[in-house]
Amino acid sequence: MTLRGRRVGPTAIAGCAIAVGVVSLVPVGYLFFSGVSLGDIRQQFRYPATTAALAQTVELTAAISALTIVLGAGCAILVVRTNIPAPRFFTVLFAMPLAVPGFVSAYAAYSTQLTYAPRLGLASSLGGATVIMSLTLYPYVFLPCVTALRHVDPALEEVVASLRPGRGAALWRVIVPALRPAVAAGVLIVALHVLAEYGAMAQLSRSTLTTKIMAEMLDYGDYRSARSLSLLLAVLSVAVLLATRALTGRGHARDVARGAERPPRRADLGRSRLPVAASSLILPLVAVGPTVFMTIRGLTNPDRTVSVDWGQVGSAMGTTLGYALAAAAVATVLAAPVSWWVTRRPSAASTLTERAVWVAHAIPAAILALALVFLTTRLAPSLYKTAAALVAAYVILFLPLAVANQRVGLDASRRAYDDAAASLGARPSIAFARVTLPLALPGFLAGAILVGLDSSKELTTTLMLIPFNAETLSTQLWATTNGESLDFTAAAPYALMLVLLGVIPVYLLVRHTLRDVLGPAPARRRSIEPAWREPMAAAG
Amino acid sequence: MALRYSRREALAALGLGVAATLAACGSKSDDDSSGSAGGETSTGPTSGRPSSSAAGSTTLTVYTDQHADLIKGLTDLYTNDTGVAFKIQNSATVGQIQAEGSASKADVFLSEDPTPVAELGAAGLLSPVEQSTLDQVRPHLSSEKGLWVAYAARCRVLYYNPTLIDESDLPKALSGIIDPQYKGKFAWAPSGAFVATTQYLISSQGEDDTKTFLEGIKANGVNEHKNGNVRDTVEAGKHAMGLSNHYYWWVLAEEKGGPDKLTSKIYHFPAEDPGNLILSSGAAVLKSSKNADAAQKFLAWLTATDGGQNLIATAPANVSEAQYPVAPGVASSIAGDLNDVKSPTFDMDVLADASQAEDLLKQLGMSSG
Repeated sequence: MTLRGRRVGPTAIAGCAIAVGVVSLVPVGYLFFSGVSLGDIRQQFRYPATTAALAQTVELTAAISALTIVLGAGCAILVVRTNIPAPRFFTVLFAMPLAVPGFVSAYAAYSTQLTYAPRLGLASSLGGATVIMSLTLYPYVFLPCVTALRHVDPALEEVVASLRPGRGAALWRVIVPALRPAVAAGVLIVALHVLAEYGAMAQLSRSTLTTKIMAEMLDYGDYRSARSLSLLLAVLSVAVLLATRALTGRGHARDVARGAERPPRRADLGRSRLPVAASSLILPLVAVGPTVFMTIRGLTNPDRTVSVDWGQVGSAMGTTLGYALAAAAVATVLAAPVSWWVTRRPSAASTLTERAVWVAHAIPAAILALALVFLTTRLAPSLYKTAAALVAAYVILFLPLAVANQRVGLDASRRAYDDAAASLGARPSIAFARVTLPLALPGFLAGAILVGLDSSKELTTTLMLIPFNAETLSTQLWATTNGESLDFTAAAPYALMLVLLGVIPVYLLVRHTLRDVLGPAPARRRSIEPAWREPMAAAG
Repeated sequence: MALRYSRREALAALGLGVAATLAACGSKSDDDSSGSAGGETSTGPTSGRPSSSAAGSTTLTVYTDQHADLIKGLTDLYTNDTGVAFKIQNSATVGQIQAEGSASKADVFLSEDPTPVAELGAAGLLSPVEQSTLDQVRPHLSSEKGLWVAYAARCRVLYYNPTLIDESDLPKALSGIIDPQYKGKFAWAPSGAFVATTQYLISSQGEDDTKTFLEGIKANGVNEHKNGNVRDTVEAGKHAMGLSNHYYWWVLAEEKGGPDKLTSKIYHFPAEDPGNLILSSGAAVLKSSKNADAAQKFLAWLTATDGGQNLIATAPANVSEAQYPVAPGVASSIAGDLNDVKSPTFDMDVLADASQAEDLLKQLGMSSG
């Protein structure tokens, strides 16, 4: 990769980006520093159950990734490219599972089954767990696909259709290539989530590397084996990073002779329009239905003996909101140099830095938390058990979401605009403030919202790093489980608040997408753009 | 090859980046102190002050993996009585304390199972508990080395669903459950208490017998993965019986509005039996504690008949979790007297090294996770 004769850009920004990348790798560095050994890993693989857990981790990651692609891309095609009634309504509905924490929907699905079909055993089967997890994760694929589909120039499809008649040609030559980067970016988030998921997997009786790691720590106090297995998990996550990079592809016709944007062509569903709409309701109903239902059932249970302390609920809500906003703000600031560097000065170094921020996303949150405990108590003891350390953990965990979205935003404002501004005499800082930032703002906001949303749902790291005596909605919800089964009588108020708190950012995220779903695209997008398109600039 | 930084430039850039990152961290902590509503509510000045002389201004930091409501009930009551404030770390692990190293903030660890306190003791991280405190508790429940004291106890039980099996048809001993007549009729979970039972069986009956028993459990029972699931599936009628801990049932009874609202029932094996195994919840003082005197006083109160034991005995199930008090003569108003549980006694400090149980359970594919 060359820099095409240009000077390396502002070194300060590159330096900041590298620093952020290095800090993101700290948890993995901790694994090595505090002791791991291949011997430990070999030791664990003497037991067939470890091999089985590894196999199941791969199986679940592959199956859930595949299913979220089908659901995410399918729903996106449905709302953008067909004449389904009320497409805006369906877009909001399809995005709603984002508002529910994974472990809560897993508990809800399990409890619903236990209440109505106790002998079924479906929720805790491999297939059942795949479906339940996919239903909570597919919006990460759905939202970027909606945006990607909207930006396909109908002219391209007309050209392809005229050259190669037949329904499939435009689909395979134009739509699928256009979806690839969006699908890759979405499925990367999904796969890393699956690799590191503990609460939901444990409730659904799945055995994965992460549940093995947690058992080593909690049941056997063997932290060394836990770290060694985490290393193996980090290797898997690198494989996922490489695989999704390949899925992105190396370019397509997106930017060729782009004229004024036109609304996409919509396929006529004909007579099946209403039946399709009706059956589309099933998906969100199955995805969030059990959580909503069990929560309402818990709140209205006539036998409930424990009264709700709404003051406590409100205080937990305020704390959750405060941490989430702080994490969103800090992640936005720290992600900016990385996303700027990788979009404006693409190089091997900047791409590597951008990939580095993903790695922390893939190791179990409990290991990440232990790494931060170890480092904070030694480097900044006064910050230990303060909100600052917890927010730092959120930032390391969710920084990739900010970087990915900022990249999309910065990509929308092409580098040529910077150059044009410069040629008209604007200083770089002015050009950034008046040209780049306004165009990139939607991506920055989408990133911030996703970081805030995921921070407000986070549990494992929060339990370990939260200031003494403070509670978030997640930790309060967890406290009602007694570490065992979620009791929707005691947990209902917290589940309700968590879902309500999640609905607002999901709506904000979807708002822009709604404009994509219906009506002409605005000339200048100011609203939030939830897209995870991998800019082609990085591949060149 | 792409980047043509000089080394000095690269170092300068890196330094700038780190500085920027740190600056961001600094400003972030400022944001939070004003922004987080539920921050540290206990702000008793602790630093450098010799504790105990003025209990009213002491703050104890408690690390615990016990049910949060029980710990909140106990510490709130102690604050009321003495003015000692608490900082509480829920869902605490031995790993967190080890990662903190010598800088650990923990004064006291309150465990749910004996295993964490046994591990802390074996790692040399605990100060011995005062003998007068150990003497307040029934024998055989605390650390034999005096490194931790029992403050509550739970026992292993068999749940059964009377619509599926008569009480008279239940096995008379834990070892009887692997009889072919019970094949497919019971649930179990590879919980911490199950690991502890396994380790007990190995140390009392030897590895071969334990292996035979576990193979029977695996072949005849259904792994429901969690004790809570065992309770819920027996209650729902999926299984006739389930091996679990006593208190989950009482917690569910409380949620449903009383024991009579539940279909399932608790069964204790009639004679002394590992199926009734009592496991202590342990209280310990960390060696690194700077409030050791105050911490020892708290443990003395926790195990006193008119102190913590009274709360554990009389509080409703959503606070006490129906755990058994451990002071002689004090019984749980919900679960009854610990003397009625016919459990064998054993040195729970052996649980610090459960590697034999771990190895056996993993070989048989019966480990959790």
